[in-house]
Amino acid sequence: MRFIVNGVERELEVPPHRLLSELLHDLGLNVPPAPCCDGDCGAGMVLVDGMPVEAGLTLAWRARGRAVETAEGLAPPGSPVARAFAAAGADACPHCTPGVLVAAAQALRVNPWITEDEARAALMGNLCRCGGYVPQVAAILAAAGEIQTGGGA
Amino acid sequence: MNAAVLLSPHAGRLTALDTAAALAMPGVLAVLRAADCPALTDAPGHAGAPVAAVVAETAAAARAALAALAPVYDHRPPVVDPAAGRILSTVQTSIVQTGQPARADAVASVTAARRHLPDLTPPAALETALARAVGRPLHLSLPLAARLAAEPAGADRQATIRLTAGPDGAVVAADLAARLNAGAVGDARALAPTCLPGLPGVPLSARVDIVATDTPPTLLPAPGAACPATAAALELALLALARAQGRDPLDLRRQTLPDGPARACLESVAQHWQGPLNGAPLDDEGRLTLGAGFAVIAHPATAVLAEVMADRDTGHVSLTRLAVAVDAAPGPAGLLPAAVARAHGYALREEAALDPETGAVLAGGLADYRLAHAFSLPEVEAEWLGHAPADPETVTAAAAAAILSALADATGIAPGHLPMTADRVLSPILSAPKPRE
Repeated sequence: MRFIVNGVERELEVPPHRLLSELLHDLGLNVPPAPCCDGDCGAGMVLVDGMPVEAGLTLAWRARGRAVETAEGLAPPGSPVARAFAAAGADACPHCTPGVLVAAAQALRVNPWITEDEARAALMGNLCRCGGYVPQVAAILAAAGEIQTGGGA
Repeated sequence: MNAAVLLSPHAGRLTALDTAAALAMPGVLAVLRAADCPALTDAPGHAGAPVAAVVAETAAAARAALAALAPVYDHRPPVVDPAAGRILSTVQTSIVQTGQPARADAVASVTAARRHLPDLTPPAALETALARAVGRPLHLSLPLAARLAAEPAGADRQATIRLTAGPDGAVVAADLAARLNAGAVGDARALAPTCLPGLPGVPLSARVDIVATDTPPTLLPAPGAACPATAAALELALLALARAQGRDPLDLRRQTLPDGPARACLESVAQHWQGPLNGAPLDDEGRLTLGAGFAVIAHPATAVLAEVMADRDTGHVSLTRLAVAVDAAPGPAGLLPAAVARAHGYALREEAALDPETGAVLAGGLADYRLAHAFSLPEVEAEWLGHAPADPETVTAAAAAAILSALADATGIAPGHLPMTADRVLSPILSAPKPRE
């Protein structure tokens, strides 16, 4: 199967039952292979052709010929989103953060002039056991400010 | 390498398992039982205890082979409802008597559901035990419903507090009856002192029963972590007493606390206190009402102030403000918000109900076990007043009690449960005469 992961074209053998989350996890990306097993938590969120998808509920072959983006591609170290999350202390825990970064980067790509309520709404598909939503929303707004003033997405 | 585990549907004993049938399935490498792995048991003490595991090349093959195991159990009717007086045994009864049983000027009773803490993370301990048993790394896929059943949780608890007031209105005696369900573990004697209320200097008559049942085992909290049911019952009883005396609840609470760390914490959050809001309506129809409440735990000294908005039409309760003061040195930025998030869930949302017949966890996943979401939580206003490390479990207990107290102020109902889900908020409102008509 041929597909694009974070801008890099890959060609891999994919068994038909393999989940997209397992495939991305095995590629060394920070996508939990099976966080809640039923798509409620959003920790396994990735973008496929720009649309958010629960990788733990998606068979890998569904990404054939498509572009997959994970937190590593959407919010690499040094990007406005990654820096804002680090500055706000919103990246403390490894469980939900990858999915939250995907949701945040996606929301900012669609609308860099995002409001606080819109930022909260963007995170409604992500559950954080630690209740770290306040710093996450603050980080999205801070990143938005930087993107608006020309910091790049 | 993938693994799947077989969970017992009830407490009992595993008498037969067709391992040969499972081993004959395609892709299956091993079938493990209690003799092969210490994380498995032949005598499950509760519904959801892992009794066997299949290791296979794929997760699908492991799951398919589980179905071939055809387990046979020997089991008696499980005992899972301590609230209805159904228990296996009383493990321990602690009696504390520093005063005469009180004449009841104010009473409050709170039942707190089992609480899953601290994280709903993948089952690493079980996965590691299985990997050790087969000598190879493997991946265990266990749906959240199974994890809620298989993993220990905070005990369900019940506390009733009666307060006696003296001639000047001050609390002169307190009486506590508490029950803590230790579940299938049974031995949780270390928890008894955590059930006592922190009313320094007030003579106390207390009886704490720790009982064993066939419900999933109890996770022992850190020593000294306060009981949220006791904390909530105490604050609600004090609120009832203040109402009966026509006083500001803060004045009464101050009277119970001599100068010291707990009093300092209360004074810190009291700067946000404007008196009870008495269900002040936010709209013309009186549908949305406001309430404020606080809670204090004496050791380790912690005070929380909460404001909530209750929707009298839907039973939905939103947490609109939360201030915490702890007698502790500043900790990591996420420490108090995480404790508050757990308290919010504990007080209002998170419940993994048990089947009253089998003790099986009924919640099917995060759609049923409802964590706080991005609109649920306000910014936490924190004050650090001491030098010791903070105890997040005590903050959780105090915050849950403060939220319940604020809910009582917002709605006028006596919130007797943790969590006060929308249906529990709504049913007393619907059965009460409507004040606005």
